[in-house]
Amino acid sequence: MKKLSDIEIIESINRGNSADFSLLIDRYKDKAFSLLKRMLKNEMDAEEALQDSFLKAYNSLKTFRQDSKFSTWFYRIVYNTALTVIASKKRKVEMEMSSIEDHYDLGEYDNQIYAESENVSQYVLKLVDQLPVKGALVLILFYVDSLSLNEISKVMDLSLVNTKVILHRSRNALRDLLIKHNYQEEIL
Amino acid sequence: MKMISDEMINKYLDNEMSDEEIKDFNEMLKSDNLALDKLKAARLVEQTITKVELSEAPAFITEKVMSRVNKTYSVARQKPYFFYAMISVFLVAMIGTIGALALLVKNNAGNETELSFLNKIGAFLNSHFSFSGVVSVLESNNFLILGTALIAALFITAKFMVDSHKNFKHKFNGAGH
Repeated sequence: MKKLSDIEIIESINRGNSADFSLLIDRYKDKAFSLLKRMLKNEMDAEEALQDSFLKAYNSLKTFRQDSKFSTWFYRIVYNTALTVIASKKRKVEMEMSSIEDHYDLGEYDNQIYAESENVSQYVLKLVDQLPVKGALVLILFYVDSLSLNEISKVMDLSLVNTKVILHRSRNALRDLLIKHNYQEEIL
Repeated sequence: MKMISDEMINKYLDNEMSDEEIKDFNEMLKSDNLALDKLKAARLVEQTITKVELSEAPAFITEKVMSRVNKTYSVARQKPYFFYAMISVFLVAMIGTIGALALLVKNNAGNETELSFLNKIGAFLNSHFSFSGVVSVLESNNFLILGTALIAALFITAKFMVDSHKNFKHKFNGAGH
């Protein structure tokens, strides 16, 4: 059976077939939930934000102009929903305050993480969790969701230059620690 | 000998080098072990993150969201049809009544000496809105105009009622998925 594209599903929904929205939910729920869990650090908050994000997307579908991919447009909704949750819980809005001068030196976490990790994959992923949230998000959106830097900059409302710098700093921070432990010869 | 900078490594990893630059880069890599280690380590980072396991969304999230979507959809879709039906009945009835009145006034005006428009309306109402006046209206051909206007109103209302029922059926069937 031919897999429908995001645009085809949206056009069907706009014609009145609201039940087709479940196809978009199934397609994006895991990635959106991962993003929200990483930002909110709490499963219950992430689930609530996930529902709110999908509902906002549904209500705004008629305004989706198709000048960007649906995934870019939707992740922006998810990202902003997470920021709203963070602000409403009166947590320190580290993400809004931070700039490219975020702390990318992971040295203080390295020894403990290295000792706890059984293999290089575990080691890298634990280090990613210690990166500044923006840095981790850019890496995940770039490598897992395969968004371009331009799309990531739209999702996170950053300039393209900023986004590129964050990607490079995050990647370099992880790279240097792998070299420190001689992991560069590992093959996955 | 020129050493490979982090900027060059990042440019290479981001596929932003021209063919000529890639050729030079590969040549320089042969004699720059540190850059080679950095490149291998960066590739390893890419491979690891690409394979990251996503957190599974909570169970029944699709059903929960669709339940909220259907509530929003049904509330948004029902009201306008009822509103349109009422407005259409009112408008068509008004148009029909005004049209019928205008024709009746015009017919009667030919038999009167010059009277103001309001006097004409008043004279008409006095002459027709008594018991005998009502009987004469029902028996007159002008009743056809009023009747036609009312039937048109009924048809338009029926159309909106059918659309409203279809919408309800669609929502009812959608809720079962």
